[in-house]
Amino acid sequence: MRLVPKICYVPHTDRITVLIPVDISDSYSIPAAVLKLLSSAHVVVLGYYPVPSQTAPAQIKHQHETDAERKLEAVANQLSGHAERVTDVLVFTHDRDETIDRIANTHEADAVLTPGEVGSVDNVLVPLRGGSNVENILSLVKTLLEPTDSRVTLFHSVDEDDAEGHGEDLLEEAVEHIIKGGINRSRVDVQLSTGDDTVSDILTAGGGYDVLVIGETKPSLRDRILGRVPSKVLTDTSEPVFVVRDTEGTDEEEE
Amino acid sequence: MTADTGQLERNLGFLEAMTLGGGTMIGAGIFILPGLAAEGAGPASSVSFLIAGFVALLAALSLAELATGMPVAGGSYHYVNRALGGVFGSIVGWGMWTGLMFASAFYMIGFGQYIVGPLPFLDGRALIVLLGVLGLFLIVGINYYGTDESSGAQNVMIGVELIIVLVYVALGVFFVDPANLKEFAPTGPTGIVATTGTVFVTYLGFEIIATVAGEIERPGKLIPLTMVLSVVSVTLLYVVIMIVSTGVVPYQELGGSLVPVSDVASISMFGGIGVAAVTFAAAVAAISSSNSSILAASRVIFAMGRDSLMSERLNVTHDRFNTPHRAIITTGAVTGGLILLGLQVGEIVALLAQVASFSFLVTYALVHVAVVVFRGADPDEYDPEFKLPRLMYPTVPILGIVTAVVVVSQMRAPVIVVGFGVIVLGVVWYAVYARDRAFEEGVADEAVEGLLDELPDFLPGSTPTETAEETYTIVVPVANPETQHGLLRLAAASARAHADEESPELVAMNVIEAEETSRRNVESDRIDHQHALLENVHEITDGMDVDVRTRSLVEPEIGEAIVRVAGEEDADQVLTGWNGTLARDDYVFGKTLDTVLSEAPCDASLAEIRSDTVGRPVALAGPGPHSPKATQRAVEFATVQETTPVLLNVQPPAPDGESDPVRRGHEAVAWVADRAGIDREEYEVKVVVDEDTESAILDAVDGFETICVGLSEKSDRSRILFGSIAERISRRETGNVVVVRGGEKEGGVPNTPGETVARQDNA
Repeated sequence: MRLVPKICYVPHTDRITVLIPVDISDSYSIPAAVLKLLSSAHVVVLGYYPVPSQTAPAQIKHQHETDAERKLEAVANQLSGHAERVTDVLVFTHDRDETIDRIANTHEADAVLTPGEVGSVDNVLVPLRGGSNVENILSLVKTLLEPTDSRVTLFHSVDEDDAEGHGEDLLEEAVEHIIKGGINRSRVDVQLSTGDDTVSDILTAGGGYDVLVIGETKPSLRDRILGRVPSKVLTDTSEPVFVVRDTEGTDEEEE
Repeated sequence: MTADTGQLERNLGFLEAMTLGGGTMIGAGIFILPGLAAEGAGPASSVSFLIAGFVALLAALSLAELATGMPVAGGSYHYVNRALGGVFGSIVGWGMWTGLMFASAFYMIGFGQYIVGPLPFLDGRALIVLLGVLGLFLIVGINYYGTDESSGAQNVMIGVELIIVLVYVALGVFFVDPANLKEFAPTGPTGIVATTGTVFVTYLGFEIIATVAGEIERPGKLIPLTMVLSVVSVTLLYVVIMIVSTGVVPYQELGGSLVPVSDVASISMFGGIGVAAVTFAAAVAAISSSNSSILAASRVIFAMGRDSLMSERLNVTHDRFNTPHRAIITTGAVTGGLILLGLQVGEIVALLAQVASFSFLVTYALVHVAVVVFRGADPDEYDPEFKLPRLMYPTVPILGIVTAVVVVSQMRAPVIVVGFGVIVLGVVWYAVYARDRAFEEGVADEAVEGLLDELPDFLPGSTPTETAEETYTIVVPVANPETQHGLLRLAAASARAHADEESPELVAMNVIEAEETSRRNVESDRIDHQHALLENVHEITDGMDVDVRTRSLVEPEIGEAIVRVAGEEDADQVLTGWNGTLARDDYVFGKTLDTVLSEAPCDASLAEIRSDTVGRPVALAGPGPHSPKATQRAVEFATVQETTPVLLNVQPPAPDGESDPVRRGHEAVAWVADRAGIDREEYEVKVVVDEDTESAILDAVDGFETICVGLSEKSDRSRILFGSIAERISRRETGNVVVVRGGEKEGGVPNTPGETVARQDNA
């Protein structure tokens, strides 16, 4: 059905776009350590104003728009000295998730940053699941690491009987990919774990980490019921988390 | 950084809209109405539902067209207000609000009946009322604190409720005794129509879809689909339910029951289990229907507040919960009062249902009128994605009005009295509270005005020339909140300067440029922006000692709209904003300003507002035809801060033997001032002698806070020169720059495109 080839919509690959959703009804500022990570990224700040179903979004907009614009501008200003480029969007919405998805699509965001508390970024933890989405995750990791001297821990969790060593291969390739991107080998750690509970494995990995980069996954039926790994990680961690969007998979979606 | 204004997300999909609309419709009504309907028309009450469904379907079609044309919050109220103006807007707004409150009270009394009914040890009207009030309290509480849209609990509950209803129908069919249906229409046609008036309350649901039109995804498709689908499916369901219910239990028995569905279920659905299931479903239905009604009510109140037909204080949202808590509590309090009436009034349930029906029948009749008006006037903002097909228009609106009137005419006297009371309330409210505040012009007003314009000779007292003697009118198009204040101040000064002969008047106008409605709620954004601008006008001009009126328009061409308004108002001047630059395409000042400059039938001034104060104005008193006008403006603007304006003239150095250039400059200024009718003591003269006129002007005006430049006629081909001095001044100076063109009234010749365009004076 689609007449225009997908390639037209792909932004030039050297610049990563990161979407930061900010609840604009609350006060918020981005931790300084995270600002540094974003130095070479295009940042889209999405100020969303959550509107309860009792209220027409237009009504909240009518009363709080000026205030919301001011707050959003403050966040954007905080970023403008640091990021490569800053775009801000203000949305009044009943449904935060739906808005994040829509804005991420229209701005072709590569990752969504869930802000958290962090003092300094010494170690970035990157759990890798299988081969899907790895390219995108690693491109983001390169972009984040370049302007800093943080370390990165690549993490993979396998079944106990990973006889063929798939897990090690995966990590090996990932390390090579990152080194090729100009990151010194000495800054890269790998960690292979065997266990059933992926979420707690991720959360205890590396001993300590300051920022998490995880890939989004298409929710399976089981995930829909039990919750997706990223969202479980998100709720259990207080650190900033970059959720990398699976842009290769979007081809199958409508539009 | 791109600082665009906030977007409004549309979050309600098909399922949510159906739950709101259909859920409300099959909700409480299904459990309470069979008793009332059976009492009123026996088994033929299924026909009553068919008729009510047909009337509702007609309304849904018309409403769908309006809702896709203007998908914003407020539903029927908004469309009627736009089409027919504030009086009818007030009638429908109040009608909808009270209708929703009556319906909500009706649901909650039903809630009480179903809980009290099956328990043998409970009895009595007081308990029913008490439970109703408690249920309402719960709903108001939840809505006060606010809920997320994504809460699936309500959808699950409504799903279970629907399943119980379907099982009720499916099992009931086997228990139908044909003998019960033998006497099909015991009350005859009148009874059937009268019952229609009672059961119509069911069909409030699709209106609720319209009230949240601003939040529905793909409104062009989903609004008509969900409205029509919910009306049709609910009608069919009710018809079957009525036949089954009156088939299982004789209508005489059913009619006397407060819990008709439980009675049927005790026969057809395994006794106690069935009764329990029905009781559960009825309770869920009542709560969800009442809940939707209260939400819809606060949307209506919000929409009325937006048009200044309701106090904005009622619309303030809660600091923490962001809910319109005052509107919710007010609605809840009145609804609670209506439930309490149940203690005194025996037939309260029927009465509540009928008054709600009445209000919405009147509302829908006006919706049909609104469609006709919109189709007739065809304003440019009206471009509905769903349009009644040719076969249905104007059949649907006409039939809709006729059927609504027929149903209303068969209602009982007390209902008609209360219903008309609500209409009177709307009219009185408009007259007492809203008339001075609301500034929405109905499309119909425009249509009527247009008609009056065509017949000025036959209407004594309405000829424009009469008023022209009395007022000096300046039309001020406002668009930018930052420069609005400066523009109005200059305009007020200019108008007040004529106060001796004519009373000064400003007409502030804003034009929404008609565009395609996109996915987001652009329409509502722009309306809000326009309202904010025009509301500010009154604040700003307060104390400026001029009469101020505002006009809001939606037009495809802003420039032409300004010219048209200037004509209609018989304006003496148009004072509009300018950004200080010239267009680099086929236009000189830009499409809008070129149109104003070449076509406005009066003086025209373009003002670039940059300074907060007017200060001491300077005018270029050169040889151009519009220099006197520029000079006159400078004198008028000077009154703001009681300064004396400076008239500037630049002369080339005289070759030997010719007259003194300084004296020549003074003579030129005096000539201009004379043409402008300005006395010598009203201005100061400054003459500069220089070879390079342009740079001399630039140097001389340095530091002045307001600079007036006249236009002069110049051939089309040299349009590059046009306005360039004004632009250059604007680039160098930080003050206000006003480009002035005289108009027809003073004998000046407005430029006509193709012949001449204006150019700046090289003084």
